[in-house]
Amino acid sequence: MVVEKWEAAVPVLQKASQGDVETVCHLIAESICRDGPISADKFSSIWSIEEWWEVRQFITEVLKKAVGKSWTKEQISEELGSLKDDYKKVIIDTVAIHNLNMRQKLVHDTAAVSKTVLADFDWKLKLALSSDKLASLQEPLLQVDFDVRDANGERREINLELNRTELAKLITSLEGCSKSVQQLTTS
Amino acid sequence: MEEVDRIIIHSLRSIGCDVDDQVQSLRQFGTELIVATVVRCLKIIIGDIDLPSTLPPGMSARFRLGASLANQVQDLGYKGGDLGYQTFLYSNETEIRRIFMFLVEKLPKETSQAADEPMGSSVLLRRAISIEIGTQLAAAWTPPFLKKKGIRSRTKPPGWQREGACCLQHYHSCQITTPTSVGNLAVKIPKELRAYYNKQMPYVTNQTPRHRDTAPSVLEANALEVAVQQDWENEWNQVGLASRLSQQEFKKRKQDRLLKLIRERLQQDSQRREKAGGLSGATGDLQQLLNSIESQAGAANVKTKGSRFANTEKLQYGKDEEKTMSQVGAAVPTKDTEEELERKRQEEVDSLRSELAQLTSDLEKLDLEVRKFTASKQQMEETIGAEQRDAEQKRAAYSVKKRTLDLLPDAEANIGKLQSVVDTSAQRLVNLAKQWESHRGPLTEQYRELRQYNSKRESEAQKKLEEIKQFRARMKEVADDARRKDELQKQLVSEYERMTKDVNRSAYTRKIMEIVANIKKQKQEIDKILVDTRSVQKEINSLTGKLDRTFTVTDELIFRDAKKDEAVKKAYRFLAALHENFEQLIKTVEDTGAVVREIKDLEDQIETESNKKVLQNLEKITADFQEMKKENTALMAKVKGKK
Repeated sequence: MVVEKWEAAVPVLQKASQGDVETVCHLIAESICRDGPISADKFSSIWSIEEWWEVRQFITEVLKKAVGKSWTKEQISEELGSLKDDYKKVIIDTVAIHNLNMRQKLVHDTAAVSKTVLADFDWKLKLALSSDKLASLQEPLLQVDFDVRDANGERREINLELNRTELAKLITSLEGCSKSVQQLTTS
Repeated sequence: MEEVDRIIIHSLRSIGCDVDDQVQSLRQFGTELIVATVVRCLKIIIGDIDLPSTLPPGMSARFRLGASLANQVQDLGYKGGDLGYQTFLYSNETEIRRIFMFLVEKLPKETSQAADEPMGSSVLLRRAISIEIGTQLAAAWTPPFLKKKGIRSRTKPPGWQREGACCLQHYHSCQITTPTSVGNLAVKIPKELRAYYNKQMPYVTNQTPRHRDTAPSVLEANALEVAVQQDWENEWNQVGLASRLSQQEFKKRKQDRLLKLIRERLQQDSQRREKAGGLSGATGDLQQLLNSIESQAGAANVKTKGSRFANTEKLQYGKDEEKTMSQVGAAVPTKDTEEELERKRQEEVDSLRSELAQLTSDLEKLDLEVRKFTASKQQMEETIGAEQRDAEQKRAAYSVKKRTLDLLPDAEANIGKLQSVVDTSAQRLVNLAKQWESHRGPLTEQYRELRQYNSKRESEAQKKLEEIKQFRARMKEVADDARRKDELQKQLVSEYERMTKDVNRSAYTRKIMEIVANIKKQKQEIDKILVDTRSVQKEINSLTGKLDRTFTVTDELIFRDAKKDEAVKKAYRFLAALHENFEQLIKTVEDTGAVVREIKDLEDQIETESNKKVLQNLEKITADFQEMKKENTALMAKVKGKK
C-alpha cells in the first residue's frame, strides 16, 4: 500500500544529499520525542519553505507510522515506494535508532488523552520568618506549581501555597491515588 | 606579671590584632603597637568608631589621636588614675598593663555566650538566615540594570546574592538522550546507532530548547533513572523474590497480566456502552467506529501480540483513523447550488430517518424473535437430555432382565456355575488385594519420604528468603545509620569549628590554678620567715636581759671588792669601759642594718623609676617638642607667606 501523498514527496526529498536527509531525519525524530520545533533555516539552501513543510510532514508521518505500527524493515521499504534504496536505508536506520524513545512518547501521549493531564510540576520551599502579627513565625511554606495540559494541548498553571498540614493532606490524597493505581496493576 | 601579659597578648591576638609572635610581654610593646591594639579593642567594644588604626605622621595629629583614645577609654569607665595623651604616646609598662586589663575585660564575650546555647542544626540555620538577611538589609538599593541576572556581588563579607524576582525561572525539564552502554564492551551496539552517536547526536547542552533547562533536565534524567532502579528493586524484593522466577520471566508475566487487564476493561466498557447506548444515533456511530477500529486492528496486527490497548494506541497516529472518519462521513454530498443542496439534504435526512425507523423496528422484531428462538431452543435441549437419560436407564434395566430370563430354564446348573464363578472371582479379588498391598507399602513409604523431603526443602527456602529479606532490611538500616551519622559528624565539625576560639579556656584555668598554688606556697614561706624572725628577736631579747643581769651582778661584786683593793678598782673601771664599748658596737651594727635596708629601698625605687622609661620618654618628648615647634614655625611661615 503506497500512499499517494508520500509519492509526491519523494522527488522533493531526493533533491537533498544522503547526509542531509540523515540529519533531517534525526532532527525530526528528536523533535517528535521532545515536542520541540525545528528551524527551517538550516535547510533553506536545499528546499524552499513549502518544500520543507512537505518534507517535514512526510518524514514525520513515516516515522510515526513505522514506530506506531511496529513495521519491519521490509514493510517500511515497501511502504516508501519509489524512493531510492539509499534514502530508504537512512529512514530505516532512523526508525531503528529512535524506536524506543518515540514509542515511549507515543504511548505517553496516548495515555494522556483524558480531559486534563498533569504535565509537569515544580516546587519551592519557603520559610516565612515573620508575619504582620508575629515577629518570629518561622513557618515553612511549600509552593507547588502544577503544569496542567487540557485536551487541546493548552498549558495552564495552577499555583498552590501550602503549610505543613495542607501539604500532609495533599500527600495523603496523592498516596491514596497511587495505592489505587498499584492495586489495579498488581491485582 | 608574665602570665598576665601572656593572657592579654593572647586575647589581643584572638580579636585580630597584629601582634608579632616574638612579643612575649607588654614591655616589648612600642608606641605604634599600643595605639593600634587599643584602637582595635575600642572598635570591637564600641562598634562604629572613627579612629585610624595606625599612627599618623604629623605630631599634632598624634597628639589628637592620643587625647581621643584617652577620652574613649575613660568613657568606658576606666578608673585607674588620670589618663591623657601621654599614657599612649609615652607609655609606661604598668599603666599600659592596667589599661589593657581593663579593655580585655570589656571585650564582648560572644564566644562564651554562643557555647552556652544548645547548638541544633535549626539554630545554626536560623542564625545563618538572620545574618544573611541582616547584611542584605544593610546594603543600599541598586537599580535592576546594574545587576546582571539579578546577581549582586559584595565584598564584605565576600559573596553574592540574588535580588528581585525578574530573573527567577522554573525548574523545567525536558527529555534528554544520552548514549547508553558505550562504556560496556560486553554489549554490542549496532553499527548505525554508533554512527548516530558519533555524528548526529547533539550535545546535552543543545538538546533542550532553552539553555537554562539543561541543568534541570540532566538532574531530572538522573533522578528518574535512580527512582526506576529503586522501584524495581523494591518490587523485586517484595514480590519478585517470593515468586521464584528469573527477572525476565517476572517482567514478562507482569506485562502479560497488565495487558490482559486492560483488554478486559476495554471490552467491559464497550459492552456496557452497547447495552446502555442502545440504538441512539451518536453512540451507534461511535460503536461503528470502534468496531471498525477493532476489525482493522485485528487484521493489521496478526504478528504482534495484539492487546486491544496497544492497537488503539498505534491507531491513534495511524492513517486508519482518518479512513474510518471518512467512512463515517462518506455520504457527504458534492457541492451544488445552495437550495438544491438544502433540499437534497432534507430529503436525504427524511429518507434516512424513515429508513432508520424501519430498520430499528425490524431490528427490534428480529431481536425479539431471536430471543424467543434461543429460549425455545434451550427448552428443547433440556427435554432431549432428559429423554436420553431415561432411555439409557431403560436399556440397562432391559439387558439385566433379559439375562436373568435366559438363565431361568436350566436353573440348578446355572446356579452352580454362577456360584463357582463368584467363588473364583472372590479368590481373585483377595489375590489382587494382597498383591496391591505388597506394592502399595513401599510406594506409600517412598511417597511419604519424598513429601517430607520436599516440605523440608520448601521450609528451608522460605527461611532463606526470610533471611535475605532481613539482610536487605539490615543493609538499608545500616546505610541510613551511616548517612545519619555522617550528617551528625558534619554538624559537629561545623560546631567544633565555631568553638575553636574557646580552646584556651582550660589552659587559662590551669594557669590560674597554678598561680593560686604558687601564691599559697609563697605565703607559707613568708609565714615561716616571720616566725623565724620572731624567734630571733626573742633570743636577742633574752640574751640582752641575760647580759644586763650578769653585768649588774658582776658590777655589784666588783664594786664591793673595789673598796678594799686598788687592783680590783682598776678592774672595775675596765669592766665599765668594756660594757660601754660593747654597747656602742651593738648600736653600730644596728645602724648598719638600717642603712643596708635603706639602701635596698632606694635601689628598688631606682629600678621602678628606671622602669618608667623617664629618660627615654623625656628624650622622646623633647624630640617631639622640637618637631612640633618646627611644624609650628612652618605653619607660621606659611601663614605669613599667605599674608
